Amino acid sequence: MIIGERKPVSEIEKMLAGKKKILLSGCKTCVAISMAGGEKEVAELASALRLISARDGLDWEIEENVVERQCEKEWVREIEPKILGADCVVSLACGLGCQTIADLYPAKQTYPGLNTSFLGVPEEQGVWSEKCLACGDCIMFETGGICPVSRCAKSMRNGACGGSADGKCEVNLDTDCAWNMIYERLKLQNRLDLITQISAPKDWSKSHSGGRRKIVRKDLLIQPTDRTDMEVKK
Amino acid sequence: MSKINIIAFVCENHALSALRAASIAGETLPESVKIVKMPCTGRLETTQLIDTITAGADGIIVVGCLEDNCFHDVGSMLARGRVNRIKDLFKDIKMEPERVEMINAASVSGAMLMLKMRQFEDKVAALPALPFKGAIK
Repeated sequence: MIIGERKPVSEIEKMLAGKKKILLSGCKTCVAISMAGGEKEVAELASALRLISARDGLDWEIEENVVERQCEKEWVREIEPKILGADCVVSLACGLGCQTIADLYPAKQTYPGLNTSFLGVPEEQGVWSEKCLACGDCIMFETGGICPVSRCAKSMRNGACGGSADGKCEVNLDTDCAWNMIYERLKLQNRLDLITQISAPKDWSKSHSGGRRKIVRKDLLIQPTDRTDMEVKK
Repeated sequence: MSKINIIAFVCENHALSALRAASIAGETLPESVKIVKMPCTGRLETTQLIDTITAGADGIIVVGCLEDNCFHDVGSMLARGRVNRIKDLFKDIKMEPERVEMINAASVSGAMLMLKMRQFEDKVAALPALPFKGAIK
């Protein structure tokens, strides 16, 4: 899922200078699970902004709202009257949700209330860790289901860098060495033959390094156009 | 000392027992402290802590069980985490983080609890007055 972290309230406060009617809009999907932009977090930010407003005599009118998935136009359109009725929107969704509102209502000022951090998983209550870089070319079938692209600090493709010790990464001793984990996992699976194979250099053009990515599936298009000639276009 | 308002969110298990024990021993609550009984301090949300200040409290004290002997296992640990989150938030928005404190108490530590409440009252009384004119009188 997409993991986010709320921006400092002082940073959000600066964005709101001169505004009066403020809509806080959260999302019930990824950022709710990462406890950054769900219903509780929207309520917390609203309370903090009301405190600032009362303290500084700003007279802010703050409305709270949480949509099912802020990255989908259909859900965002459901709150159109609230968006149009506000001076500005603070999105507590990820960068996708924020841009969905901003693109649908370009005349409305939409601000990010979160920093979108990474694609990760909840490890335990209060801990999330990165496990995917969305590189566009998954190789986990060779690595025992462990992603070295995101979990190795150097995104090594052919084994450990030589700097790890006792199974820990030299970049951050709190982090397990991805290639040590891959070795142990392949050993468990009796697939150590995989670790001796040399992999070709990774094709980074499929990642963001190749520019903005876009996927078109022609079987899903309702009104086929010349776009249907494209399977995957960057 | 000008009149201040302190709201104490008190766990109804060990912490409230401590207050009762102190009361039996002849101790009285500091004048500024009003008790809000909680089934567990782990139920306290950060929003409630912020809103309590906006409503006119000058300080908040959260009294939960000892962390290794919590009636609901992890309630007082959750409460401490939220108190610390609000302290960080207050620092961020240029308010005094000392306005919110967490105390852990066993049911036998009534005298200690009263002492800490009096110390907290003195500390809050020394802070600049807040402009909020809320529901708390």
